Amino acid sequence: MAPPHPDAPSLSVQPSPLELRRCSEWLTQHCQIRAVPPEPTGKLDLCLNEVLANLIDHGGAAEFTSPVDLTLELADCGDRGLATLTIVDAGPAFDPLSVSRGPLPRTLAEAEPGGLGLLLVHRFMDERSYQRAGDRNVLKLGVYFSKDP
Amino acid sequence: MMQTASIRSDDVLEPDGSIKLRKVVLSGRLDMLGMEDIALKLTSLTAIKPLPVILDLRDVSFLASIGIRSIISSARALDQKGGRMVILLGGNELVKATLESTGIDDVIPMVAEEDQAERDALA
Repeated sequence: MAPPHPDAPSLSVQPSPLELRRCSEWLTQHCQIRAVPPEPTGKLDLCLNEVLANLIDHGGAAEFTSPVDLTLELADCGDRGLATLTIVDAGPAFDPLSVSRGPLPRTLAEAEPGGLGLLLVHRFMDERSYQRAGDRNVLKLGVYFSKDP
Repeated sequence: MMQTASIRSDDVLEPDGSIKLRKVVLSGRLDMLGMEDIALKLTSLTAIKPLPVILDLRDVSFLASIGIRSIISSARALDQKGGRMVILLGGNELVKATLESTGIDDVIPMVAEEDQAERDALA
């Protein structure tokens, strides 16, 4: 897994509910600057929110003392672009992509309120990878978009 | 500055003054902070009485899983009391895709038009 380009926009935040919106503002601002359309930007924003919310809900003490590092990279893939967000945290080893979820609900009684955030990550992201690098979790989420206006 | 979350409701009354239909309108960003602001009111408006309820999400700009959980809990409680919830989306494609991705469209009716929402809620 290649490290992010040194010139890619990055942000370091404490994982707290108050910081979630700052992360979203940072992401949407840089996506807009780089002409990523609103729909893939919205999906990336939602998945970033879900991953950070998961860290806040389930992370260990290290989550609150060590920052989470975010990096946004754009790649040219012919007639498409690829926006990739790298999320690095110092919490216990945890691969959110390994979490499996049962079938979708058929009735309201079957609808499980939990596990929806990671399901959204699986459904909305075109590229997903996880690696434990030293004492840090490195999660990469990517979404393709058309370069046509 | 990102738009905050808000909630308001409007009851359609029968001639005798009883509630025929409740419209609950959510707007803004339904993330962790947004749901802190509105979750209790959403529950009190949708999950206490056995009513037909239209949950209007047309002006929701962002729906995180914490918001979906709250909607599921309210719809389930309403269903157990004998009420019925219909979600009104208009042309809100991101919220529609979010709900469809989690399978909620199969367990809570979702419609684009207000007239259809009223018909389905009252059916």
